[in-house]
Amino acid sequence: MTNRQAREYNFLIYRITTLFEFSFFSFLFLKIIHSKFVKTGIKVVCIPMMLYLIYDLFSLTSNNSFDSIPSGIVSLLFFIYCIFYFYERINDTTSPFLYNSPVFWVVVALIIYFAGTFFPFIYAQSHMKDDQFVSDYDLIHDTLYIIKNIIFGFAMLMKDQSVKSSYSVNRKK
Amino acid sequence: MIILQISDQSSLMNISGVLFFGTMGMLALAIGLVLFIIFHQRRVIRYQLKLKEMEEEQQKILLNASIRWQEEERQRIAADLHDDAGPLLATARLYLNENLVKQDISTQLQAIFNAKQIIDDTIQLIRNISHSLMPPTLKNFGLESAVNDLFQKISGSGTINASCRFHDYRQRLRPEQELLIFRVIQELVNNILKHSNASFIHVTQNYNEDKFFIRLHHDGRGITQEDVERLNKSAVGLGLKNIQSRAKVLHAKINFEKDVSQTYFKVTLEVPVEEYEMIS
Repeated sequence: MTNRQAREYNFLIYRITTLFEFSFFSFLFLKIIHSKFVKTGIKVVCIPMMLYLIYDLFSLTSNNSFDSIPSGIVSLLFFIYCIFYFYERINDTTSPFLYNSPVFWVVVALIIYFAGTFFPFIYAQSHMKDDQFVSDYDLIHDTLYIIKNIIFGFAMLMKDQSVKSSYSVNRKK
Repeated sequence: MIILQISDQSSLMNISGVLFFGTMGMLALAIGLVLFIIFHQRRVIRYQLKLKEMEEEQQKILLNASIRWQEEERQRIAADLHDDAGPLLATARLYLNENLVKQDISTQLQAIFNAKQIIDDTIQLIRNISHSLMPPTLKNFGLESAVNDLFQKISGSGTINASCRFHDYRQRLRPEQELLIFRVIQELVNNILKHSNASFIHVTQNYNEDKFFIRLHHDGRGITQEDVERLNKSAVGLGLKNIQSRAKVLHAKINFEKDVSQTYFKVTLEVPVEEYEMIS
């Protein structure tokens, strides 16, 4: 099995990964964003997007081409969710230093990964057959994937030193 | 064929370029955003810390002023007792010494009468000291009567016309609140008498939306909020600092301003009062 054949075989796995990734990270953003308006927005976007991803998974093209459109939309959505999270944090003057919180680093990892992979993802469907593109894609994607996982690891290992902000305190009340 | 190959290659180069610059642009945007958030937050936190420090400094000044005021008050009471009550009692003692029994009856009666007079004076003196600490009118009849009493005494001197009008004082406040408000009024009036050269002082009271308002007008030389803030930072203005520390205890707002007509100076004390805090 050549490299390209292996990649084509993986297209189905890519779509399944996109579906799980979208569900998992949407749930994560629902947990970390406290604004009711944004939460409702995430929920409203989540349902049609999930239906679209499931449809895309079972469509005829699912195992012979890269899922550029779903991946591109997912990247863009997570980029926007990350901005919403930062916007919320910046407006919460009671929250202490952001970089003491593991959640902040998880969001940093996500914004770097999804911002960096947006262009490779949207071009992948039409250019996956070009070896030059594949090597560029691999270089960008794999580098960002490693960076994302390193930051995730850093976030998991760090101790949450952040004092509860007014948002979380109010939520508990 | 060659042209097609060249065009294919140039298109691929183009894609590589878009991919590279697009990714770099997006990454720059993401990293820039993260850095902006971090630096903005650090700036906000630094600002909050500075604000907190300033607040602590202000608290310290108020506390010092309060301690100084207490010390001055103690010294005044000590001086009153030592210089007035002490000699009076010593004189009374002289009249009632051991030799009195050896004197004739008329001298004894005269000495007892004199001693009684001196003891009465001492009682009056101690009563005055006690009243200056806690006015009995305030305790027994409330803020309106106490302020009226104070203003009658001031008007009685003939140098200044002092009047007050309580519009909505159907229920009394808690005793400690009344005492603090009275002390604030007393201090304000004292400052006006000392520094403003005013010809009249008028105090009005109102109650609106769980807030107890005291407004004091006078036509002398007054101060505005800016002057108060300037004086707060300096070592002078002990009375003013006391007013503010009392207002703080009451959770009240105090505002010094010039009247809309620009003729009078106005001081507004706004005390938040819950219904349950009032005593019928």
